[in-house]
Amino acid sequence: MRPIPEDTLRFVRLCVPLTGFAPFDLHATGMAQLYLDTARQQVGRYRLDTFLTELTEACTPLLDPSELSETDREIARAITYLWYTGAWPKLAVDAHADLRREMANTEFVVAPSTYVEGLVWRTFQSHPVGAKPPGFGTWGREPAELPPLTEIVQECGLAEQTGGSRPEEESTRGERSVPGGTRIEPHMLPGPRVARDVPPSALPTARAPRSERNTA
Amino acid sequence: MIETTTGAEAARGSYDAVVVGAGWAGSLIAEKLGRRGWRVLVLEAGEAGTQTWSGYLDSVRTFHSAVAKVPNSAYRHNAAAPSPDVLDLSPDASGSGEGRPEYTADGYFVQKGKMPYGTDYVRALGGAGMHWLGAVPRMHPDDFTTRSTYGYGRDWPIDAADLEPYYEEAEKELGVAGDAEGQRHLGVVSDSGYLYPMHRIPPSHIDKYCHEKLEGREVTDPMGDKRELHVRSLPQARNSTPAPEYDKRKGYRPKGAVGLPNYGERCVGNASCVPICPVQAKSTPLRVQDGFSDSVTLAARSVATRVLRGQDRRVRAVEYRSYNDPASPTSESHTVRADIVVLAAHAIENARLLLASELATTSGQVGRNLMDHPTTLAWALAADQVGPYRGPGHTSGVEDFRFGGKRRERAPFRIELSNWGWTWSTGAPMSNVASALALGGKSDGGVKTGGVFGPQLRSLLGSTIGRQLQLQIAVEQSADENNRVTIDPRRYRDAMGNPRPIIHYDLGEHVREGVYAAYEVSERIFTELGATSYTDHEPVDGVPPLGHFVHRGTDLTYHGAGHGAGTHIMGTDPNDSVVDADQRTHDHPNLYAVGCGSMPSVGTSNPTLTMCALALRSAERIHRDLAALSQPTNLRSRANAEEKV
Amino acid sequence: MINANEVHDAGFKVPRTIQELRTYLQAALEVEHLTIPVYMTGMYTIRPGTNSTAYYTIRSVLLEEMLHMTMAANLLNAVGGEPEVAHPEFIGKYPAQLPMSSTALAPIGLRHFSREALNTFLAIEKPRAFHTDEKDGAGWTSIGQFYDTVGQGIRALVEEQGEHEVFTGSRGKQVGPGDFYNSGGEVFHVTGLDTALTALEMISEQGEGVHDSIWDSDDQLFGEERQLAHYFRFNEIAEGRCYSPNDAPQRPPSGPMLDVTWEDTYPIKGDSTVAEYGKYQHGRAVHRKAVAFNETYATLLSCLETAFRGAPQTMAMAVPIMLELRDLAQQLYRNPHPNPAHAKDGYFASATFEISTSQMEQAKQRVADHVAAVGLEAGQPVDLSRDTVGSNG
Repeated sequence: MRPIPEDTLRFVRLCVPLTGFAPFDLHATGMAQLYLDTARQQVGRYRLDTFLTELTEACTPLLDPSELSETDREIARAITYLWYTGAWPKLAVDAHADLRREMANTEFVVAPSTYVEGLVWRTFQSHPVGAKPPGFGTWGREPAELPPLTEIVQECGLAEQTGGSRPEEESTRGERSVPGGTRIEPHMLPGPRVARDVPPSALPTARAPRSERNTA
Repeated sequence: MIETTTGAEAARGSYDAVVVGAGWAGSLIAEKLGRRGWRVLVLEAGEAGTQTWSGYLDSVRTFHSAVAKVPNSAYRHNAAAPSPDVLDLSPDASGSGEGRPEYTADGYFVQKGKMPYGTDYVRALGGAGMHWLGAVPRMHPDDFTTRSTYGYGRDWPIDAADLEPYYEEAEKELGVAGDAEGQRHLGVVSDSGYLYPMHRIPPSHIDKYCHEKLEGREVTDPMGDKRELHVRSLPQARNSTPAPEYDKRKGYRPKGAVGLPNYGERCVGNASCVPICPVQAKSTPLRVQDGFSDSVTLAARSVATRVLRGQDRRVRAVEYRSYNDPASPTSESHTVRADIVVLAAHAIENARLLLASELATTSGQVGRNLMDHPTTLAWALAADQVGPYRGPGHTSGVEDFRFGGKRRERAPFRIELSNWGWTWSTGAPMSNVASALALGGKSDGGVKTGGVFGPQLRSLLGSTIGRQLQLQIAVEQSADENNRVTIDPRRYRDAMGNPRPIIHYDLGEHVREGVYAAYEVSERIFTELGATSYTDHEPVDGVPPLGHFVHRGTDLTYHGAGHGAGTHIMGTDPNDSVVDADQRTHDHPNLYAVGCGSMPSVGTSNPTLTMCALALRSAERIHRDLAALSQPTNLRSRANAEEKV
Repeated sequence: MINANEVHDAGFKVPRTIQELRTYLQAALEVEHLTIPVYMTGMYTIRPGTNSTAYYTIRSVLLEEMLHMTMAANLLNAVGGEPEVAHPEFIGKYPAQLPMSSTALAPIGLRHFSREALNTFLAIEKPRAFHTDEKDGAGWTSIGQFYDTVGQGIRALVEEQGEHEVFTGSRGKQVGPGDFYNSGGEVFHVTGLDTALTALEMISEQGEGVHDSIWDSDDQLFGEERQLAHYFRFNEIAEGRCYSPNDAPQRPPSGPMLDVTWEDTYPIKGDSTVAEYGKYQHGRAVHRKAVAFNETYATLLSCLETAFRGAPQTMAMAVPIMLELRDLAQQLYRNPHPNPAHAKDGYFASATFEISTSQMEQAKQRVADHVAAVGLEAGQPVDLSRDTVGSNG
């Protein structure tokens, strides 16, 4: 019998403001321990502890990334990317250097099952490509509705205090904004995959759509 | 259960026919000949393993753990029988503007053409039939006569009517789910009573979304070709509900997974057909191999090196090398005799073998006329959630620019409505996560500012990934002698010492016009859909994306479709074609070269079905040849034999 | 369970009337279903990425139990009965006594993947030949014996009354291979004595093997690849070793080793209840999901009942619900038990398989509405585009 160690439980709690998923969903991946081990290995045990302390302070309870140092911000992104995709990403070169990492700065999938447990698929109510199939003909169903931002905040237990980066609630449902009100800038979207061997974490971001470029 | 043997063991047998390659074409021919009692040896260059359930699961896990989930990502690298991979190509900024190629190639292919040949295949049991999508549209009657009807490309020595019974047989062998009525509307199925073995694969929500907004709308391409759009269901070699009325009400029983009883009898929506269907609801050549009779021997890790010439114009044997460890360059050579040799190793491998064997040289066409379906991608955000990354790769298409109209001026194209979001064009959804987080740093190495976390991140991703639409537009490429495969054994060899294919490839004006028209049409379709196009073919930080070219002042790109064709095309004249209508080489009466390499044109249909129909047709001819060869010696049969030679 | 315990309590007996036969077949449906939560628990408590052979073994048996349940429904429909599935009592209370079996058998509980769980599985699937106490008049000893009595009953009734008087059910109610897929063996229509006996043969032989062998009869009945019977499939996992083709049923497997890592499991408390989860502040999410699981399970049973009561095409809606249950169950098993004391001992949350009367009524209503809205038609291509019955997790 192996109870979940206390540091893993803490890691899961701290990953809630990073990922926007509640502890239940994070545990439900079955990957919490492996992710903590991976982060320790990639960043260094001591350095990760420092990061987690800094992270705690930057969350009120939502995370304000500007409260983090540049390197900590990149670590926060990497750990979030890990939960969302099952892969450890390629880091910004400066962060990689600052961490004095001894491994190659390349993206890798931690294990076949981490890919399968990626959270990104859950954000649009789907399943990982090549696993957890939903059954014959289900692709013909209308996609399930996405939860509004307030509901996600509530579900994560992040609503008690008002933080600096608390998202504005808007009811506008336009194609250029998220239900929660964030305007979608092109740099928030991926750009063309210039070559197939460039890992997802190293791809360029999108440029403004042609329609807007031409009028600009 | 599929049994495989080693190359050394196989060399001890004697065979009526030796088939090189255990993909779709080779497997179908071997199965047909084996069923007639002929002793057949099938030589597979690559590894076996996927025929067992644990081996198959290993492939699924290999795919899961791959960073780049490309078509070959489920199949392990093999130095003894290397495969070309789409990861081999990189863009190269130094060439742009100076007329030099804008790419470099670092893999199995030696690429010397102006443009990259972006098509892969996999050398393993089942071949590219393992990682294919399973799309099986037939070719249109017009596709067989582009030279005489539209003044470009080459005509076939046979027509659609000749192939129709073999199309039907292939659809049974592959196990096709489709809507025959829709295909009749297109004019590719002519039999008014024909049914596919299984009901069409259910359309995706994306299909319905597009149907609602596009059906009956008119779109004009830049050449002035005005078309009314229709969204049509795609026939697929994928298990669906059997049609009880099929085959005079005999019905059809779907074939399930090989190596695990009672599994894979229907598609469950894994959405990973390429590179691998985890439940084997997608048809693969393993199913055919599972039905091999005892007279068929299947040897893996056996790389054919040459076909050996015999007396007169006949060939007498196949020389091959067997290996034990794919990582080690050690191998052992064997020779096996056969009455008939069938090359079924992929268009490029067939050409490589013919060139290495110095056979079928009369026409000078071996290796020439290499084709593909250059595919341009278009991507957009819809105004609504559309439910991407669900179901097979694509379940419907817009077929209206495939036939007639301005085909003389620009290559025709087939528009696939992708069910898999922006994955091919942008590496989504993983790249969505990276961009939303502002991960990866700036070009100067600095850590980026911005990026969203937590509930905002989840919400942003849900909204932006859930609205992804992508069109994959496959453009016909016609035969061009200058697009070719050659070898130079002194300079370019693989680890085992076999010559590597050298590729010269480019896109002609007709294709470039087609790609350009496809791009413009895609923009108009997105307007009709009320979607915001993010299609972007321009250089990024001065680096041209792979497959980049400028046409009529517009930046465009294309990708390989994995539809390698040409290289030993069929015809009636031995002076300008390599094989006859039965895929028998003009030069050697007992040497066949089968597969997409025989196709004089590819139309806008994914070529596997046509290739399988041709293989089934050839199997009948090979059976007749073998029967004639084994006639007891008497005056009459000797006279016949002499007549043939 | 609705009928099974009653049949069990009445003691060993061959059904003599059509009514008795129907009661027996309803009991058969319940017995086949009783194993499903047990196998689901064993399978979904395996840690991701581990024990893949064991996972696929349990999965294959689980799906064959679904098939058996469906065939029991076909049998019941064929003799003019009306299958009852969407009933709060349909699910047994775990740990449950396996009906129509020796009372010496330990109760069947929900257990995480473990040696104990495999012992339970083996007890359920134990071949008749292994029961030494089986003879007429000695009472119920095994499920195999129960199916024998059903076969005897059908034969006698047909002899007495004629085939037409026994098989009075409508053909339209039969679930066929077009409706049910991707599972062991094959669903087929039961329309008379021959098909009824084949169905019974398939059900018992998939479980315990063809007489005196380790193999089932799928290869003979359906031309499938030869496959071990359930008992022997489970025994391979329990023993950590595969059978060789010529192994005898009474001997342990003698083939190559098979990798089983017993520690790669999420230990659970098999007797957890949603009420218990609800007591803990920390267990709110687990509670919510466990309730959602039970509601989804109720939806599955309602879909199955609809499929078994004249609309076999409704199976198309049932399969995606089973897959949704897979996702919900796995999420639960990977979360610590809401009771901090249990969590500290290393226990995880679990699906409880409890359905209340009101949950069942709501599920039936939901399914009725959706079946009407989706409008699946027999023999027509499947189109689930208007289906939203699942996805409440």
